[in-house]
Amino acid sequence: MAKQWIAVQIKRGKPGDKSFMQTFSVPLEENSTVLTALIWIRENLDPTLAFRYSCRSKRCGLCAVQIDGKPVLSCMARFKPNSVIEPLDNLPVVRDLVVDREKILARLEEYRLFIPEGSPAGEKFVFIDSDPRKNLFLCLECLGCLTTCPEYRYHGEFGGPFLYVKLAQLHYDPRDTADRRGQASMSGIDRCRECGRCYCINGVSIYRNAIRPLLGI
Amino acid sequence: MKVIDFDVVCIGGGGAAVTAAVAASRLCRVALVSKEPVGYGDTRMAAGSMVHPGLSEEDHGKVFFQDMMLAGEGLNNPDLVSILSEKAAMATTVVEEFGAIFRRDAKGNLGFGAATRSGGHTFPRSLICPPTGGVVICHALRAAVHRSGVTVMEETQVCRIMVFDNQVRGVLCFSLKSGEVFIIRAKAIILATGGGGWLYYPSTDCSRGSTGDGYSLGYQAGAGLIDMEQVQFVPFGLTYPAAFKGLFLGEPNLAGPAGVLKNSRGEIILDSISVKTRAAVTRAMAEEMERGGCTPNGGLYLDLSDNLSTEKGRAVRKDMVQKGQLEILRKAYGEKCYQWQDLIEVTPTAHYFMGGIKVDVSCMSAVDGLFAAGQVQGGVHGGNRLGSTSLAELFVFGDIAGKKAAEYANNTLPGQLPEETEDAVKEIKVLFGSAGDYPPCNLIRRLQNIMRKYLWVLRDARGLREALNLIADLEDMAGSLRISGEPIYNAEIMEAVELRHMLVTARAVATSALERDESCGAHVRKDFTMSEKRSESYNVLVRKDLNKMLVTRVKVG
Repeated sequence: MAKQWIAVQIKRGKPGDKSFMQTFSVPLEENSTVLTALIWIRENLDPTLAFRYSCRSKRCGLCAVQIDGKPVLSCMARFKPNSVIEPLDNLPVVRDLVVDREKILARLEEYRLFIPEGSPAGEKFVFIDSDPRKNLFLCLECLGCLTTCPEYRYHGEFGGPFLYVKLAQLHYDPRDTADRRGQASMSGIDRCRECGRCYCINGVSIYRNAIRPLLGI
Repeated sequence: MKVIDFDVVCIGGGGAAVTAAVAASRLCRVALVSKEPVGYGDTRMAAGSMVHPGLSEEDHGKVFFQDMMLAGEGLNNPDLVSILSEKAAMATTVVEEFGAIFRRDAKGNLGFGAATRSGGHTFPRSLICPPTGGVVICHALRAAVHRSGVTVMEETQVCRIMVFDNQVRGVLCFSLKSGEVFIIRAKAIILATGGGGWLYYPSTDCSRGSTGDGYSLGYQAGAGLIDMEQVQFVPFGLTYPAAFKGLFLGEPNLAGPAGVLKNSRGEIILDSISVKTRAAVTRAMAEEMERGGCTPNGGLYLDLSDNLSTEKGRAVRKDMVQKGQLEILRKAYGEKCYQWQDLIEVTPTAHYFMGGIKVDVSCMSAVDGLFAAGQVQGGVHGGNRLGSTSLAELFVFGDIAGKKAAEYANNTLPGQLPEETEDAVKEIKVLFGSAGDYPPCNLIRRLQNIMRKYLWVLRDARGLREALNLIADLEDMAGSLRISGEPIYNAEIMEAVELRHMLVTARAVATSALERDESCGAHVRKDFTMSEKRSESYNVLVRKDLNKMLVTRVKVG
């Protein structure tokens, strides 16, 4: 049987240069996921294509890209004809599909996203894990949620759904001493009150388990 | 040539690296240099079950020590095992102090009721970090690094350790993001780079970063590597589709009470699987595959259907469904396999390197100021690693390496960089736009084919000699690389450096495997049966002598 080749468009470029769409033709049968298609292009057509990946199995979140306008993990997304693959929208790009995680995450350091030093849970510590907290730890830190938020701009003042998931994780940690609701409020979470359009590709209920508790509703 | 100064450089981004960097940062200035973002690598891949001995009164440190020594088949260093068994319970505290929380029992306590028993452990002592294990731990690693104020350089690769007079002087780095090549001068260096599972890609459940960098960096700096032939495979990895090949499906306990392995003709080749060790199941599978019993996708059939007719079997499945353990099975093989109603094609998959840098009880190698912790460190697991021990070792030995490296740095005056530093920098810079014959990823794929063919579970002298010849060919070809001149996020440069590290690691594995002319631990020689095993144990040591790899047998320890 002849190989079936399918076309894929990839957004390329780096800051300072004009970005452009490039079309590649990729054999479908050996490439069931978007990630294997990207690897195939690198190894057979263009070794300069830049993208990130690590685990191949939905654990690292590093391979998140946008396909036809929606965030996906490329290791899990099925490779389909005429896909348009782009870097996560609204985020600063390093080159091609690689976004600048360092720059995005550095902006969150001011929120001190950690429990105080010297507060281990210890063997005697009584703790019944709550369902919201468990759900919040499905977060893979892939940053895909930021592209689903109509308000978020990485250089803006508004915190965005990824920050609210991190703040809520700490809000549910009995060892944490910081006022996470106060921080959320300072970063403009009030804008989320009537929205709820953000979502997580790995199943975190962001509005229900992060935004509502931080808003106190 | 840009040169920056720190007291300690810690290389890596997983549990051992972060723990070491945080511990050292309490005493001196530390840079954490990781080729991936911090909190990734194989720590994140871990299912997240971590050993915590002492949850019941009978389970004192000695029992755990004996469990590990027995599993290791006489190759483990008793002093290192002793440290791990005494301090393993502390690992939970370290991780919780970083911000994670382990599963509690029904009353909310971290106790016996929260633990499960993994294969080879006398008592239940494995605790998990719900819901996503390694991912939760890695959230905490990132939090701990921010809290500590360690200087972090992410997506920055270490190409070489600079040594003068058998003492470390600094590291040569390449920043993927900016393309910059620079030197960090330091008095102590900690290798916490993880393992080398990616040498077997796609037949591995490890992440793409596990290219054996630390073995190669340490070896080239002058450290010894022990028992590099001891590569652990877990029995149940996926065989297809290509995108998921090698991914982790399960331990022997996946078989439940009634699961059996069958060959392509439907003959049962192994039963009572769930009580057997990783090594025993893997070996039986490899032997049947060698005899020609392979399924169409190059594996064997795991038949779990008989579990469905017993209450206990159904309970095992239900538990796995609840833990989300069977999701990848459903995604790869579909609903009937997920329901255990259809045959599941499985193959052993490369999981963990038990060998590594030979260190003393301070985690220091034969090179002054060079430390190693975590999977890159050798001697802890010998010929077979017990489940749940690798997470604990990260935090126990990471902490020791961090403290000892900081103490060493604080008692050492800064030294000069060696003369060849400038040439070493140039050697990396000329890779940009180099117009040779081979793209680095092409040679990496060829090396992985060699590893899967000759350094799989079963080995023999002929195949190992062939592997060494083929590796030598690749070493020559690696001198003629073709790479673009793109300065920003040029992953080919990273691959070129990884290729060098992988070639050194592969040579160390093959050389050690040829030297160990017996079947022992995870290393099975087709030309030597288990009964021919020598009564006296030894470690196989490789080290660099001028430009040659020297191999010797040394006393265990």
